[in-house]
Amino acid sequence: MHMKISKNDFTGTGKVYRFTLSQMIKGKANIITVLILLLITAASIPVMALMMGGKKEDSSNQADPSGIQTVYIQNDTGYQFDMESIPLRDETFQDTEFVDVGPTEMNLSDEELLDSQHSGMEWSEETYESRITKEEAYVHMQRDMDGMCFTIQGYTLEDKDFTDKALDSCIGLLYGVLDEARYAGQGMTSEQMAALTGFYETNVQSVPEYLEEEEISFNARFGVQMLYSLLLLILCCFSASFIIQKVIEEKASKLAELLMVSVRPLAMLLGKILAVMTYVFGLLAALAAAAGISYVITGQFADTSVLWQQMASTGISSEILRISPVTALVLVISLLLGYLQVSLISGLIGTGCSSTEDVEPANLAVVLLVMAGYMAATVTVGFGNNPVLTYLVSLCPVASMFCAPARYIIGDIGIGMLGFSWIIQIIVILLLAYVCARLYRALMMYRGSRMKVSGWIAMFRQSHTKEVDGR
Amino acid sequence: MSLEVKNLSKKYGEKTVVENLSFEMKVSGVFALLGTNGAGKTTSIRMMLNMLSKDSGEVLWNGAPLDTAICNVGYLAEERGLYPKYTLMDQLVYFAGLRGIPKAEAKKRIRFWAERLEVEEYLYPQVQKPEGGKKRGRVKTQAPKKADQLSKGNQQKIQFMTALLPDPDLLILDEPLSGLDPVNTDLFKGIIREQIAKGKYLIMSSHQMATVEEFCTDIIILDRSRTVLQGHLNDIKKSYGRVNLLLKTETDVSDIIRREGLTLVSVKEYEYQIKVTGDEQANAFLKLLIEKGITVVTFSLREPSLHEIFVEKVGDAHED
Repeated sequence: MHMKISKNDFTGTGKVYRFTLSQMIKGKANIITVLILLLITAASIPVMALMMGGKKEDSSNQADPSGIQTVYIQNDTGYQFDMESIPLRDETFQDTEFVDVGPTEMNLSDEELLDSQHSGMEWSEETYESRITKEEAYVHMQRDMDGMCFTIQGYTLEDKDFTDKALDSCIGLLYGVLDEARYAGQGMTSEQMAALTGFYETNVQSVPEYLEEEEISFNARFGVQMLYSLLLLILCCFSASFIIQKVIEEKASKLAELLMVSVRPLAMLLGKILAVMTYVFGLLAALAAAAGISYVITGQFADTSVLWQQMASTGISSEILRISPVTALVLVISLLLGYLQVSLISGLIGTGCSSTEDVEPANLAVVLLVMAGYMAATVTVGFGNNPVLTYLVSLCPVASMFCAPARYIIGDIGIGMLGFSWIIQIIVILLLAYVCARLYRALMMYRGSRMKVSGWIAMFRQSHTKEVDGR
Repeated sequence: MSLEVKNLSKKYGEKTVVENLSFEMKVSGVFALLGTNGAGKTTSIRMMLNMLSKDSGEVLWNGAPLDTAICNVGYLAEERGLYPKYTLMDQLVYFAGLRGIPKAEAKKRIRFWAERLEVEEYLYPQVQKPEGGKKRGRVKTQAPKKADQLSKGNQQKIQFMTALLPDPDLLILDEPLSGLDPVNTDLFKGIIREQIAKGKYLIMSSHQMATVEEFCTDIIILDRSRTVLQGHLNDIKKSYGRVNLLLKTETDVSDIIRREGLTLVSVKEYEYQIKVTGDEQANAFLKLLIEKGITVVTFSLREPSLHEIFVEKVGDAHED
């Protein structure tokens, strides 16, 4: 027996590729499918953004986000504040005017004080209601005469036009202003003040909350695995369906003989695989572009950040995805390897069929195989970073094309293990190509019902024991 | 140029489908591959074209193994096939491209063969004039046809075109005339004659013995995978001798025929088909008729037809 693959075996691959691709692009059913997919993708971005509450606020409302137009401050603290700088501290108050109404006049007699209040000269808890509107607030900042205790109290009308939360924020802002004034009064430098007033976060958790940390991590792992698996699953199902359809179409149309006079079987299969790959990857790129354009357009009328917030809530953040050129390269290589494995299997299974009635069962066989890998990936990710399980699914054929890149992105495996997984996948691809080279010609000439596993084995044995002519 | 097929054999499991098929074509012409259904003709052709692996044997074209990717071979397969949903022009350009013909040249050749095979209307957009001979009106353009819109005969013409497009040195035609009406049969025959005149090598497999006889110089008859007869057609016929006698008289001579021990094959209005052992017996019979004063209108002695040779060799056990 001698079996060698020569350069001539690939002659005509380019022509098969161009013809297959051009016919796929011209096909009415394909054009309609692509248009529908593009439409759904483009529409899904604004729909999701709006459904998640990403409605953009009107620019006129944005000018007064706190809703408080003026805050009248009666300052009895003994410290001086720069009123104009207060709005700069918090952008929600950037259009709020802070007005210093001065300290309380302490030397006035009760009668004089009453007169002044009636004449509108003095601000107090009793008189503020006649002086402010529904959009305004009165704040009284005081120092306790007995000690170093300060109080800040805010007053509004009953039917105020802003929220309690806005008033709380305003009070909080003024506490910060008071603190800085106090520190400055002690002669502190700006660095010292920054050190004292810098933000800090506290995280108080109960035991159940602490245990939920694991849950968040699980969500992230599951999310990444799911995202990649779905992408590969879509790619594989599309490709398998197209390749099987193309192969069976030629056999059912009795074109095998006519074509095989001009082009070698391996070139016929390779041309189709490359054409379908270009088409499907092109389709995915077009969908991604449609999503991108839709995202930009949606950003003009809706708040698209809610989409990222939604993703982040499922645990998928840019940090976890490790978005970088290396990640992108890993994804492209992994998708290509996965595609090649599935397309070669599809080509072989498709060639073992003879009529268009066999398209569905052939598709089902490939989909079941792909689903096995998909299930292995999504189920095992739930077991956490178990090293044995992780290595097993990252190296085992079929499962590895779903698991290895996702586990690398999650951080379960390193680049070395990923590379090893790729090597195994390449070996699988070469083995499949070898089987194709051995059987594809005989399969193209095969007529009958869909070939069973026993038929494959018998054919392989036959090709192994008999001399194969040296084409 | 020469074609040499040496000891070609093929088995499927224990069943032999072709056994030591050997023949040679040293000059251009038509070689006929004949046989009953399932005798191994198509399998032999597929092995020659490397579509099927062979258990043994070799096929040499000009002394080197025949490689269809290199040698200029045209093939009309027994199983006619076209992409049903693609336009015919796209398919023909593709098939020509696979044979290494550039697109522009392919289009020229397609135009030529479309005219020759009278299928232009299916390949090129057709402009339809306004109805009712109106001067004004909407001019309709009919789009080029797809394969599934064509009749079987026209599909066969397109498939014949694919075989002819590369202007092949070796043309293999598997049942080229089956399913054609008489007009298209003549069209195909005319093209086959042109190819012979151009010095091409043709291998033809057919069940239509009259057609084979019309074109072929050499034949091979296969029966149950084995070669049962092989050689130059004229030599084969000569070896059988002139055994077919056609006799036409004005009176009934059936009794005389029986009395002389001749085999009467058929009779229709005093026209007799008679089997004789050779020239001698025929001449003696003619002499007897004249002596008896019987008016002989036709007396024709000829060699057996290919059909008769085929039936004799293959026997009645096989369906034709």
